Amino acid sequence: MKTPRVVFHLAAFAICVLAPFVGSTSINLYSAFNFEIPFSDNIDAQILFIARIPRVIAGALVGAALATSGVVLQALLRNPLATPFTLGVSAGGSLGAILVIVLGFSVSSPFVPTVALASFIGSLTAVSIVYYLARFRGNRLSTNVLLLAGVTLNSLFSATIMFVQYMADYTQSFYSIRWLMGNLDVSGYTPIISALPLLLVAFAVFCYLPRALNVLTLGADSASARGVNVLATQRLAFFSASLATGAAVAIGGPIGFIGIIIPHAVRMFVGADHRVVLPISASLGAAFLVICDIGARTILSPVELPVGVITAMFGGPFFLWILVRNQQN
Amino acid sequence: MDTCPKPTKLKHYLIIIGAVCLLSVTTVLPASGEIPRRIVSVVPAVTQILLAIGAGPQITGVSSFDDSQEVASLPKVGALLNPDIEKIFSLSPDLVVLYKNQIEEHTQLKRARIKTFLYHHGTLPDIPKTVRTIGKHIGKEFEAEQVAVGIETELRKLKEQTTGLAKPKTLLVFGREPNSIRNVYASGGVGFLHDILEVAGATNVFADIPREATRPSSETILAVAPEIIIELRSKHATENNINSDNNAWKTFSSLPAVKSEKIYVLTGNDLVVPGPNVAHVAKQIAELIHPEAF
Amino acid sequence: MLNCENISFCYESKTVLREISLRIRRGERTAVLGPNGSGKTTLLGLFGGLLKPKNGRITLSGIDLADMSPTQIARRLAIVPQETRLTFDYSVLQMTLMGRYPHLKRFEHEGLDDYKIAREALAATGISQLEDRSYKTLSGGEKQRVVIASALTQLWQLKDSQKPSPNEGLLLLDEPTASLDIGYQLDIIKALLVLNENHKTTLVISTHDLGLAARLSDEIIMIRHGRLLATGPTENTLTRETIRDLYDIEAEVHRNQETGHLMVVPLARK
Repeated sequence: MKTPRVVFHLAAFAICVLAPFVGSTSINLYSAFNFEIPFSDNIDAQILFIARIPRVIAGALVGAALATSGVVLQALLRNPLATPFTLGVSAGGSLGAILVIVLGFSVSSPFVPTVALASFIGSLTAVSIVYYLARFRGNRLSTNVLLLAGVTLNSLFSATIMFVQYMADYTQSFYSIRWLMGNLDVSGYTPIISALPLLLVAFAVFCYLPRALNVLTLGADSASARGVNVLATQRLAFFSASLATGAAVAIGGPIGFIGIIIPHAVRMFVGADHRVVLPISASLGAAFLVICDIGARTILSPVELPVGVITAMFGGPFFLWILVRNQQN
Repeated sequence: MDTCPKPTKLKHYLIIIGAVCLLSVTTVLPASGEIPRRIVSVVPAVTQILLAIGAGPQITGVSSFDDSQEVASLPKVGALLNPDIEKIFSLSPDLVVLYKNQIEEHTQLKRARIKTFLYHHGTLPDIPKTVRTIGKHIGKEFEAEQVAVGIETELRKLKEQTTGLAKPKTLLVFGREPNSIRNVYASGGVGFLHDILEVAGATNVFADIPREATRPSSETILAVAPEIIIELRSKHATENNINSDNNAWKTFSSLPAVKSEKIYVLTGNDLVVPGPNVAHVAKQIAELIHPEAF
Repeated sequence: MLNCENISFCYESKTVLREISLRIRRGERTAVLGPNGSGKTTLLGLFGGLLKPKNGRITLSGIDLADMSPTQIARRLAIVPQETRLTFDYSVLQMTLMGRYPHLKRFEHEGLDDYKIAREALAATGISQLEDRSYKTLSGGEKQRVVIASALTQLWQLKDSQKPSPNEGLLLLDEPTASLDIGYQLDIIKALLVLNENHKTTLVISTHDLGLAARLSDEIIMIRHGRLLATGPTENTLTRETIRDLYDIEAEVHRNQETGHLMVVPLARK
């Protein structure tokens, strides 16, 4: 497939720009952009600027973050089945969020929503534990230990989550289950603004890594022999991917499927050079999640479906279609 | 020769037969005639009803969500999702109150020949009905009638007080994420909470949603533009948290409720229990919606 | 070119190599022989700077390896491992170009020069026609040659004459012909000889294959139980006695009439 790459980026951008104009309520665009009406009297503007646009931005950021983390982790762990959730980051984030939901803590901070903060702290805890277990033996991280530690932590945290839900009030149980299905309705810019610095740092590191990741997929020794600083690359990859995933989960909950499907789909189109795969994964991940969210909020309107359900339902067949196409080529 | 007239043998027999009949009546009476003395209630609403009609002493076990004074010392047997059937059996109940959809537990109890009362979660008029039915089942018909009539009278009074008044669009919230307007759970157009809003003289913004609970998105909340927002919280919320928490609504500055600062929080444990206190809850809500009428 | 001064290496408190001192000269073809567990692979790892010796030092062109950054080492020395398993599929050209990693700056992209070098390397290993093929679809021998070509692109640079030439390049190969069909084995041998003779690449080959060692190398290093058993020109070092000491087998060593190489014929256990 020789589609010029810039087409991907333009298409993704177009989708994100047009998405806020689609929704379950019909709004009068003329009124929405009429800045003479005071904002607090302009329902159309509020729907557009408070409900929809932040949601689309959140979707784009979360989609890009999860897709690129998936790419980086698959290279780090040298395993095409790795996902951003493999190393336990999202399980930690989920546990943090659910504890807050069930125990009802409330932190009166105007900057960071409580549940998002708790989720991020949970992610940090999981990441620290995994890193501590896998920290260098010799002069590199053991990918096997990383994987095992991640899988173990996933099980441990999932069991804890089940326990907490069981002990909780059934309405809280219900709320926490819904949280786990993902929700991009950020209802304001605060969650985005608080997560943005983290995402920017992660994305900046992602820009730094691609060539090293290419060589790293040949094997740690082969990479080292070509002059790659394997330990530094592994650390950067691990922490940046975990940071992006933790921030994404804090914003929208653990939305699955994106982190494994997008990298594979992109590689099918453009090959495995990470210098190309990473930016295109970001765009495609953003567009995909924004589209899924449009589906979530319009299919059964006015009732909303959890976006994680949509990503799974559409992601599966989408991937099958690509696979079949590839076989035919 | 004796002078005292001896009781005839017939009299003896009559006494004996009479005693036997009495005994047999009391032992052979069908179970439905017996008054349950060891009631286990998995449904908090029914527990409250039992207490209201004076059947407290007849309760042996309650649900995990029953934490009122009177039943604090009684064993807890679980609730809707995870009733502890073994514990229920261990209390040797003669009547077990279950939710209608707890089919498995019902089958098990039926097999053990333990009487069950199946509770169906309904609308506001169903509550006094349930009170009466329970009263009948446990031999407290009179008390139950009093309680039921009490509820109906209060509700009727409320309705009269609010008739003719403008019905403001109200959003009744019973759950959301702390400190943000995410994952909001509100009352739909069905169920006793919706009925309470009607009685209290308000229009439920989600009256057209055919479900008891709905999870509206920010967009939907902005579109329905409620004039009053009432949040129901359990007693865990502290004063401090409530105040800072309500600031979260301020982002939706176009909501009439935000502009006129008509965002209220009710805390309590039985706010969402369709039990005997329902009229009291309705009154609280009515006072918030129509302060001028009270 | 590569100098080992009394090095030793431990792995989990077990001494794997001890008191090894040897010298590899520029332009030589050296074979490292020894039974499994003798420390051959460890020695190669030390040569390549992947492992650090516990005692002693290894110098490359006079500079201690421990003082060189991975990039500096990578420009002078390349390793061809026994097996290269890719996680994702790359084209032959992409893989070969990965050898340019130590020469490019962080955000620099490969330029025309780099492509030229890569293509020269592919030509030197005789696989230019496979340039656009995907690595995973290649045969064992072809795959191995791609890896060698990739290693070569690490070592070469363009001089003013615009023709790639080696930069004191040292190529370390770990069992390059193991598990290859005999035809491919011959291909590899031929490619390596071309590299050494035409391009003056120094070769150090760790191998089990005594025939390969006899055919290809002009110097032999024998390692047994972590110690240096013998070292020197193949003629003198590859003898019946040394083979007996090294492998505990009886073998016949004689010169092939047609080619003039030594040949080793294993006979029996000692």
